[in-house]
Amino acid sequence: MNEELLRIDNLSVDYKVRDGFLSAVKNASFEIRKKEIFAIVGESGCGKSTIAHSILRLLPEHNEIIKGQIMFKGKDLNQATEKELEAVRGKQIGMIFQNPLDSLNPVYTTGKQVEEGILIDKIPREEAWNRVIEMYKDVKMPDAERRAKSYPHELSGGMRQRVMIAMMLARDPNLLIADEPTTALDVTIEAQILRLIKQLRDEYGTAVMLITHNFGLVAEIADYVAVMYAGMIVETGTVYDIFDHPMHPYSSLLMKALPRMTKKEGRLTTIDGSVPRLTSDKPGCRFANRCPFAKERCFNEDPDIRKISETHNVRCFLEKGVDVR
Amino acid sequence: MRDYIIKRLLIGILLLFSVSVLVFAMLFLMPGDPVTVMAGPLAKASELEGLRHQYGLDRPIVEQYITWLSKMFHGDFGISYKYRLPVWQLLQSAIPVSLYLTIITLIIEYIVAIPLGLLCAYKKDSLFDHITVNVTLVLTAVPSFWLGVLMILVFAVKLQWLPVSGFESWQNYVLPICTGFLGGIASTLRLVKSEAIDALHEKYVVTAYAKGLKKREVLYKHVLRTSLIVVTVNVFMSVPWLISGYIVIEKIFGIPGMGNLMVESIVKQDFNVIQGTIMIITALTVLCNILSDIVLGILDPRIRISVTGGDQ
Repeated sequence: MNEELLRIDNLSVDYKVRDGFLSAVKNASFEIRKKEIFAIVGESGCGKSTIAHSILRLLPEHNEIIKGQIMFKGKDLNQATEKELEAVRGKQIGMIFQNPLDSLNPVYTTGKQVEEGILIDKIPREEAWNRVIEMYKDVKMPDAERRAKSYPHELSGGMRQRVMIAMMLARDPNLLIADEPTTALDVTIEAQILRLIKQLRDEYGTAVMLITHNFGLVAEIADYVAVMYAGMIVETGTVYDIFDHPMHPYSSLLMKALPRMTKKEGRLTTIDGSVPRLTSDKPGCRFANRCPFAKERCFNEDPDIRKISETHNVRCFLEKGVDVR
Repeated sequence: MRDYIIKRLLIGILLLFSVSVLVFAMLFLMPGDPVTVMAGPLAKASELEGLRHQYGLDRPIVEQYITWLSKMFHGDFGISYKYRLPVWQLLQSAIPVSLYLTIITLIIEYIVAIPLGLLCAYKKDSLFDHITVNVTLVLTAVPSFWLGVLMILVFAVKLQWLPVSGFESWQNYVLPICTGFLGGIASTLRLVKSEAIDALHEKYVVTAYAKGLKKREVLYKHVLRTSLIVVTVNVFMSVPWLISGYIVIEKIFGIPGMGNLMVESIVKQDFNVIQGTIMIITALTVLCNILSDIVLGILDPRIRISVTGGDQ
C-alpha cells in the first residue's frame, strides 16, 4: 500500500508572456502512492490544473517552461522524449477533464472513441469492442450497448463523464488524473461520479490524483490532500491532518470559510484581499499580503516546506501554526 | 436523413422558381423592347405587332411566363439570335468544357491545399507557415488576366512548350488550370489552416493525446476529420462560382465554356442565351448547395440531429 507511484520534486512551471514570465507553479513537491486518492485543492488559477497537465505534457500552448522532476515508476517524465510519453499516456496514466462535452470529439460515436484507445494495444477489433461494452458496464452506463453507439451530444453530462472514465481506464493505467471531473455537473451527478471513481479505485487499484476546488468533495473521498495557493503548495497531509489540524494560515482560513451545518452563523467568513500577480523572481511568501499573521520576514524570504509529522508538511514560518477557528 | 434530404430539395426547388421569375422579369425590366431589337429600327408598327403576336408577347405576362417555363422543362431554351441555333445546343457544348476545366482545377487545388494548410496550422508561425501563406497570398493578389497572359508569354511564346489557346488536347488545359489553381489556392489554404487551428485548440484533441494516440493519428483522425467538414462544404459551394467565375480565364485562353458564352451573349444582347446560362448556373448552384448540405449531414452528426430530430 505504501509503494510510491509518482513523485514530484521541485516542479516549477513558468508561462512565457509578453513582458516576461508568469510563475504558474513554484517548487511543488509531493508524492502519490499506489491505490491512493490524492487531492489537490485550491482556488481557480492557482496552478492545480497546470500541475496535472504538465505531468503528461499536455499543456496546450507550448509556451511553458517546466523545471523539476516528475518521477513516475522510477522514470523522469519531464526528461522523457515525446515517444516515451506517448507510451505512458493512456496506458500508465489516464486523464479526465473538466468539461466532458468539449473533451469528446463530436463526430465520432462515444464507443468508437473509447475503442480507439484500446486499439493502440494491437487488440483485434471485435475483442476491443467487447472491452468497450465491458467498460461501459463497469462505469454503470445504463443501456451500455446502445450508448456505445451514441454520439456525445446524445448523452447527458454525467454519461459523458462516464464515457471519459471508461476511455481512460480501458487500458488499465496505474494512475488516473481527474482534473475537476465534476465541476461541470450538477450536485447529484457529482456524487454519483465520485462514488464511481472511488469504487473503481477499489476495484482496479488505480491511484487517483483529484484536482478540485471543492473541499467537501476532498473530505469525502481523498486519502491525502495538498492545498495550493497562487502556484505554491502550502500544506500537504492526510485528510485528517488538513481538516482537523490545519497549520497554514491559508488552509486554516479556508476551513473557517466553509459553510458548516452545525454552527449557526449568519454570514460566511471570507479572506480579505486578492491573489497577487505571479512573477517568478519575486521573493517572499505568496500569501503574505493577505495573511493576518504576516511578519516582515514573510515578505522577503521564501518559506520552505517544513515537516510537522510523518504525513503532515507545511510551508510557513509560523512555528506552531495557526488555528483560527 | 431522408426527411433532411427532402427538406433540402424542396427549398432548392423554391429557390429555382424564384430565380426563374426574376430571370423572366428581366426581359421586361430592361430598357427597350425585344421586338424592336429583333426587327431593327426601320420596322413598321404593323410588323412589330405581327412579331409580337408571333412570339406570344401580346399575351398576359403570367401566361407568357408559364409557356416559357414549361418549354424550358423540355429543354427548349429558345433560339439564339446570334448563332441561329437552339440555346440548348450551345449550352450542351459549353457545359462539359467548363466542368472539365473547373473540376480538375478544384481537385488539384484541394490536393495541394489540404496537406499544406494542415501543416501550416500544425507549425503555426514557423518559417514554413509564413512562406507558404505569403507566397500563395501574393499569387492570389495577382489578377488572373495578368497571370494568364504572363503564362502564355513564358510557356507558350518563349519556351513553346504548350499551345497558346484552344481546347482540342489536354495540353491546352495546362495553362488555364495553372492560372485558376494559383488564383484560388490561397483562400482554400487559409480556410484549411484556420479550420485546423480551431480544431487543434479543441479539448478533444487533448483527450486524444491523453489517450495515448500518436501525433500523426491525432492529426488525421481528430484534427483533419473535423476541419474537413467546412472545407468539403466549401468545395461544393465553389463549383458554380468557378463555372461562371472563370470568365476571364476562358476569354484569355479562348476556351468556349460557360463563361465565354455568357459574356458573348450579354454583349450581343442574345436574350435567350443569357436566360439559359443564368438558369443553368442557378440550377447548378442549387444542386451544389443541396449536395453540400447532404454531405455536411453525413460528416457532422450534430447537424443531422438538429434537422431531423435524430436517427431513432
